[in-house]
Parts: sequence; structure tokens; C-alpha cells
Amino acid sequence: MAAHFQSQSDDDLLTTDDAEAFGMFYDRHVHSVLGYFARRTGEPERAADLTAETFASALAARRRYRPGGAPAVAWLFAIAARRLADYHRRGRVDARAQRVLAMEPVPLGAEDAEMVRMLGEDTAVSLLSGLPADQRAAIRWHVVDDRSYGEIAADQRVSEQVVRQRVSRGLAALRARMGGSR
Amino acid sequence: MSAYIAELRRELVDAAERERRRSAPRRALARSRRPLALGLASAAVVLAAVLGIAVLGRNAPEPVPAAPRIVATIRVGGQPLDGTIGAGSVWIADGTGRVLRVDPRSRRVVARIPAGSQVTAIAASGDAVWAVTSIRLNVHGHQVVGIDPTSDRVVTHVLPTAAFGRLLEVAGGTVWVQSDMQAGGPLQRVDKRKDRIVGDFGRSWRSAIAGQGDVLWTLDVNGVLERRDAATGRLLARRPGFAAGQAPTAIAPAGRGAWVATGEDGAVTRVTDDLKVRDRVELGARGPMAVTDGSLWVTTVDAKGINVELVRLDPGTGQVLGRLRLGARLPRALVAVGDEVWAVIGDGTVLVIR
Repeated sequence: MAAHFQSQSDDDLLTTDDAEAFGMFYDRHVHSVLGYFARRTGEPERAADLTAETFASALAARRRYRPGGAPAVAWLFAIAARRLADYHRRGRVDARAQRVLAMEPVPLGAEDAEMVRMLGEDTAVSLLSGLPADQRAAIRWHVVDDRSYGEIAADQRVSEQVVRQRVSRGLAALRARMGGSR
Repeated sequence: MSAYIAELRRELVDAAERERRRSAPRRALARSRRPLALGLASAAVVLAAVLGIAVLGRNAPEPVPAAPRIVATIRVGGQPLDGTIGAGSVWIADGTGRVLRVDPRSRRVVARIPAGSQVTAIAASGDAVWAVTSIRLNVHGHQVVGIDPTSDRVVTHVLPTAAFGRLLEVAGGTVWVQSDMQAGGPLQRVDKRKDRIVGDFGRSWRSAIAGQGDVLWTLDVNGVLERRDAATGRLLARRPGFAAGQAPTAIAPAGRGAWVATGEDGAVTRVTDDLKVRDRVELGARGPMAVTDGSLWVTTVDAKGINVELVRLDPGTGQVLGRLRLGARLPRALVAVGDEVWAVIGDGTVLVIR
């Protein structure tokens, strides 16, 4: 079953009514999400909690995901950015989506914590470092900081279409590197 | 793959599967409704007018409880051995010779009561808490102590007439103990006026006793199931050979009957008040059980003896309503606290599960 899903796109995985499909989507992106949170919180435990809540939120919201718009990975990181903003606002990780889904908290062992710390140091940096500077910046502003295309365009004094193009091309390149270029 | 990433994946896939099952009937119903919607709407108007609105919903299914989850973890310390509820509190034998009093609302330890020596079993009623403690200087090795909930102090010491172990229950205002478990001794009770253990209510190698209201259920290793008047000890019903050879381990009264767990086949079986067998479910039952408001909770362990799960069942039918993985955390006791079950774990924690 897992091999069957390996050949499917992120869009297919999110729109397939199969639990294992979401597992495959998780497999593809969990490391980059962990790294994203590890870099921003500096705490492996918080990064793990936020990662769990992000994927739980994605699972709860996947029926609202519409293929053809923003890439699935951008959709996922938009959720991640919102969970991070919630965390900064409240000072704690609210596990609401996990509670709604009746998920059990997953403890983070010492070795796992070290792994998360390393992901924070390496993963995103190495993924983004190979992108052209304009694409790297556009992705960071739009996907990571959750700013709108129009806002970035006004700030950079370019058209909104240009910003969309940079984000789209950058994410396509990232997907290709992560093995999800479908 | 790291343990964390693998475990989170399992949680997500399980949650996705639960969502899929939950939404499938709704989607199927929505599909089937469309062609009939207009006709049904008309019929509903007529029916409502004829029968009255109150009829609607009579056949609606009972709400299914949500999948079980841990809602809080209480760190009590020590190596807890047993737990019970009574006198408005949850009481934990912490494995270090103390009885802990926990407020069920705040979930905080509000008193730590020295019992004098190791507490191996604990039971409570509305106005008293009783514990089995070990004593070195007595030839029988154990005694029963009574704790006064108003002062949080041990106020009664009851010496046994024969050795006994963990079996202790309070029901019908009477404290029951199984004496001389090594030799199939008698079921006895505590005479509170004389602070003595007295009586002989049948000799047997009992493996479980449990009370509910005015009824005391007992079960022995040969599968003899008994139902007694908890106040007097009078035998109400007896069924020999029930689950013979299946190593009965636990009994949980529920409604007009009880559920019995058998370790050999890992099954739980529902028996009625007149000891007739009704439902049987094979789960891998290997530990304590408890009945909360609307749920039977059964501790299960997989065939490798590694992974522990708490399974929630409908106490009326035995239908499995949900499962909660506990990993290696095997509950020493399950305490029913309203609609929550508190799992007493040997690592010094109590898991509050709903």
C-alpha cells in the first residue's frame, strides 16, 4: 500500500480518502516542518509539539484543501506559520487539533530531541540555500511569514504576478529536491 | 526513522482512519438522501403532523463516546501499587508505605499519609479508607489499617487470623478480605467494633473480589463465580466451572451483572445477576478493569507482552468503542472517577483518561 502512494502527488495524497495516504504526505514533509519549528523556537520539545499540532491541523483541514491553488507544501507551511503565531501569542502550544482528533501526546526522547535540533540547523538552510535569492526571499516572506502576495509585491516594488512566479518556481524546486516533484 | 517521528505518524494515521470511518456513513447517507430528499421532506411534514414532533429522534442512536485520550497526567511519585475512590477523594498506595489522597477536581495530591509499612491493597467507602499493609513482626505478614478521611491519619489496626494478600473490598458497609490465599482460605470480614477479622464465608483460592452497592462478587482460580449480599455475606448465586482453566483475573460489576476477565484466553465475558453468560469478547485482557459512566475499560497486552492498550467497551453489549495505546505503561489499578478512568501506573504517574 505504501509503495502505491509513493508515486502519487501531494495533491493526490491530500484528496484521497485513505489514512495511509496522509501518512505518506507526513513522511514527505515531517523533517522540514520539524526543522522549521526547531529553528524558530530553539527548543526541540516545542518544535515537536508544534509539528504534531501542525499535521493534526492539516489532517483536520484536508477536506478543504483544493488542488490547483497554492502547492500542498505551501498550504502545510501556512498552517505551520499560524501554529507558530499562536504559540508566540499564547506562550504555549495549544493542542486543540490533536484533542479534536483524540490523538495521544507523543513524548520526545533524548535522541529524538537531538535529531530535531540538528534538523533545525541543517534542513531548511540546506534546502533553501540552493535557490536563487529572489525565490528564497519570496518563499520566506510568503510561506514562512504568511504575508500576502500583494503585501510582498508592494514592499519589493514588483508586480504581484512576479512574486507569485518566484514563490511557485522556488517551491517547485524545493519539491524536486525533497523527492516530491509530481 | 526516529521513535518520535514513527509514533507521531501512527497517531496521525490512526486519527485519519477514525475520521474516515466517522465520515463515511455521513457521506453515504448524504448521497442516498439526494434523490429521496423531496419525497422524505413531504412525508416528514405529514408524519410530524400525525404523530407529533416528539416522536422524531426516538430511534436516534446513543451518542458514541469519543476515542479515549489522556487528558491529564498526575505525577504522584513512588511506585504506585493500587488505587481506589471513596470519601470524595482518590486514594493511591504509592509503593513507599504511604497512602496519597488526590482531589479529583484539582487533580492534586492533598495529603500523604504514612501507613507504617508497604501498602499492597486499598479500598474505600463513603466514610472510610482501608488498606492492607505488610508487617514484619506478625507471623501472618499483613494487617488491615483504617484511615480516617477527616484527619488523614491511620486510626485502626486490624490483625488477621491468617495470612492474606491483595484482596480487599468495601461493599455494603462491610470490609471484605480473602484470608490465607496460599491455602485457599476463607472469605472474611472486618468486625469494626472489635477491630478483628472474623467469619468464614467459604474457602477458596479467590483471584478477584469486587463490590457494587449491596452486592459482592467473588471469583476463584477454578472459575467458581459467586454473588453475595455485601452486608451479610449471604450467598445469592453460585456458578461452579465458569471459565475453568482460563485463569480468571478480574471482575467488574456493571449494571445488572458483571464483566469477568480471563487471562488464559484474554477474553472478557459478561454475566447477568443470575450468573448466565451473555457476551464474550476476546481482546487480550491482561490487567485491571473498571466501569465508568457508560464505559467498560479493559487493560489489554499484546501477544508479545510489550504493548499495553486500554480498550473502551459498551458495558451493555461489549462493543468496542475505542482504544488508547499506553506503550509499556501497564496499569496496576483502574479507578472510575465519574466519566474518567484513572490509570495507576508503576512509574509514579496516574493517567487521567476520558
